[in-house]
Amino acid sequence: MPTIVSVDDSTVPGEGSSRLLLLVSSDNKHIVVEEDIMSRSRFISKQVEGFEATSQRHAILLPFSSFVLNKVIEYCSHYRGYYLLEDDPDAAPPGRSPVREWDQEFLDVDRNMLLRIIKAAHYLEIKSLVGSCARAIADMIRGKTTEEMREILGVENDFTPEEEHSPSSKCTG
Amino acid sequence: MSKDSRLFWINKAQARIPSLLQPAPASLCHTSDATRRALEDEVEAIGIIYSLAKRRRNIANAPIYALPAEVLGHIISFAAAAEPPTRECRRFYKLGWIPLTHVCQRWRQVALSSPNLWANIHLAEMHPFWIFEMLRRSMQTPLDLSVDISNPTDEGHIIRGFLLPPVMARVRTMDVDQGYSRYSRSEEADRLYLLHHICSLIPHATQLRSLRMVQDVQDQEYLPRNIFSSGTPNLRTLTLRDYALDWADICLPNLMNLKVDIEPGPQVEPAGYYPTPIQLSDALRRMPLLERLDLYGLFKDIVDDLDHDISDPIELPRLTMLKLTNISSGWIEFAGSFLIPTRARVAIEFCCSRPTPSLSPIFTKYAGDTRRPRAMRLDPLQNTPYTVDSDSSDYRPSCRLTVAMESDSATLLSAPSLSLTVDNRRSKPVARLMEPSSWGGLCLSELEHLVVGESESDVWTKARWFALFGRARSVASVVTHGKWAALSLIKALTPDMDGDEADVVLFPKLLRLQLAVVPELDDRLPWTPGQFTHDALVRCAQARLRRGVPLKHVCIPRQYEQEKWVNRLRRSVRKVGFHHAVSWDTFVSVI
Repeated sequence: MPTIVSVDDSTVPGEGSSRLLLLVSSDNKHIVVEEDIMSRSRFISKQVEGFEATSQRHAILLPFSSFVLNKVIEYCSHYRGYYLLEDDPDAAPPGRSPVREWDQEFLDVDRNMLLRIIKAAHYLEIKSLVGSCARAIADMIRGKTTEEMREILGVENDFTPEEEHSPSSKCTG
Repeated sequence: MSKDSRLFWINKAQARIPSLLQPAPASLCHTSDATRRALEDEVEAIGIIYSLAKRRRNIANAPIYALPAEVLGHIISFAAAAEPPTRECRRFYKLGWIPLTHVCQRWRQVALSSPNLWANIHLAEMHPFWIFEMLRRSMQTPLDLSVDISNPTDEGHIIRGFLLPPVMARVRTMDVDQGYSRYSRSEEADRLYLLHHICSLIPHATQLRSLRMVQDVQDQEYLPRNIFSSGTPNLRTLTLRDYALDWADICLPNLMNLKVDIEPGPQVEPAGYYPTPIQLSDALRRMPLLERLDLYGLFKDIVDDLDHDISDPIELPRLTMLKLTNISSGWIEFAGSFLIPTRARVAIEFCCSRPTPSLSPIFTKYAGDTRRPRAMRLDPLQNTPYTVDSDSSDYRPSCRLTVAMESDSATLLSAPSLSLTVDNRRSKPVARLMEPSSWGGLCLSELEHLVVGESESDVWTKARWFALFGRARSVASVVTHGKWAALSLIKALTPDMDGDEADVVLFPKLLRLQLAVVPELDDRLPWTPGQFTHDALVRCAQARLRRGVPLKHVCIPRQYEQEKWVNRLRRSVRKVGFHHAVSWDTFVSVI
């Protein structure tokens, strides 16, 4: 659960006609963003519903850095007002459709950043962004051998000798 | 490495293996079997500790290891969809995505605990060991099976071995594919045996929701008569290409999507396989939930049968898409007896075997009532033999017309015939199509989406765009599949170099322009000026911005993505108010 701190009205400008949210990153940066932009995040939407129930505005503390948060906001701003199939809870899961071109450019970052974005997107419950990041990671390791995958993902072979020699590990063709 | 940890582990290990730090003996021949076994046990135990330590290090160091299981599941399922296991040649199989489960323990755990990942099985593309493993690991999850029966002699026994009633009872979707190949007599017997084996199991597939059977052999295959007469209560989607159905026998009460090629084969087909209007109407009446109906090959003339065959209209209360391709006039009249829901969106596609003097018979039908075409597709057929002229008896269709409309009428269509004839080489029929008068009373004022197919150079000109679509002021999206249409449209949308904007108000609401071929990037057009599309698009965008009607999207095919030209265009168009360029893959056909 995120920590929620109360803020007075002067902290969140423009309340009323254009509703704004105050997001606080783990490095204590305060970012003001339009509620409409972040409506793609189910987590934020739920928080906002909570505000409406208590009729109090709060800042939302998020457990990731401002750099990552800004990336997520950039994504949400880009698709502001767009219908994305992946975000529709009633829609069937998307199949093998290719990555959107803009997403490809947006996710052209190093591995660690990509992982931070996917974690943040998962936390904020932005399914389309989780899907795009997951697809980008899947594309990174596509067609690679197990060793190459380990190198790309930065993990070590941690199978015990017994697991390593199980029949399903050996049968490669 | 810290000294402390090294000392600690050496001390620990020495307690278990006393001679650990002694110089290695020349040979182990003096070591007893018991000692050797004890050493192996120690090494194994150390191996386990070593793996556990590495696992701990992975948790600490590798950020990917710390991702939630749900996210890891997403990554693995995308990888699985992108790289299914395949068979390279007779005895060599590629495992596709499966090596991903050998990366580390956590990934393996996530993969093994997601039965859905293992439920997509390609029989004949996978080693029997893996088919067995995937069936086991998928537990009781519904299966998505793909079966290729192109190689019946080598793979038939594997397919038959796994396709048993208990497995079929779990099948949710099934694709049966057969590529083109020539068979010897014994192979042909194997193929038929295999096909009939599969068909005989379909009544066992009680969970089956989608069945697709496609073949590329020359003749149509006749499916067994009782294949859909019982069972398959959950079947929602049925697609058959070059497989003929017995229409008299079909009973699929929950079917929602039906796509069948009912073109008769070269031989005389068995009774019922090429339906009479009454058989087809009875079959459709037994499918009350039908939403999409796509029938190909209703070209036998049936005019004489119509009067006494169809007495009541055919109610299709949920139909949203009707596509009848290669259809004769008698069958068009038959389609007129369909009752479709009020306000349903319907797309109709006709491909006619004979030319008609004009399009008026069909378009006048729409002109007077409240129906208005909202999307239109003009698509000359490819690979169609061109004919001498329209009076010739062997005239072939070379253009397909699709109109999508809002319908509020009970009767879908009763026009006696419909065709759109464009001969790509001869001017007469082209001129006829492109004469606005031949469009009858068609009102394009509400047309929103326009798709234009490939055609020869003289079909589309700037003047024709204005003549045909000058009044289509609601068009928001245009897709051009051919280079000529693209060139002429860009010209039509672009002011002249001297800045004359008098005649460029075409499509004032245009938001999206999609080019399937960018003219100067097409190798087949060596003479096209290198900068034409770029400069014209930028000029067009500038002019539209000045008028307050900016283009929001320009879509280009994915294969051009890496071209320098595209990056230049992207930079230029950003300056002149494009929102962003949307890639080809985001295009969704409006029809």
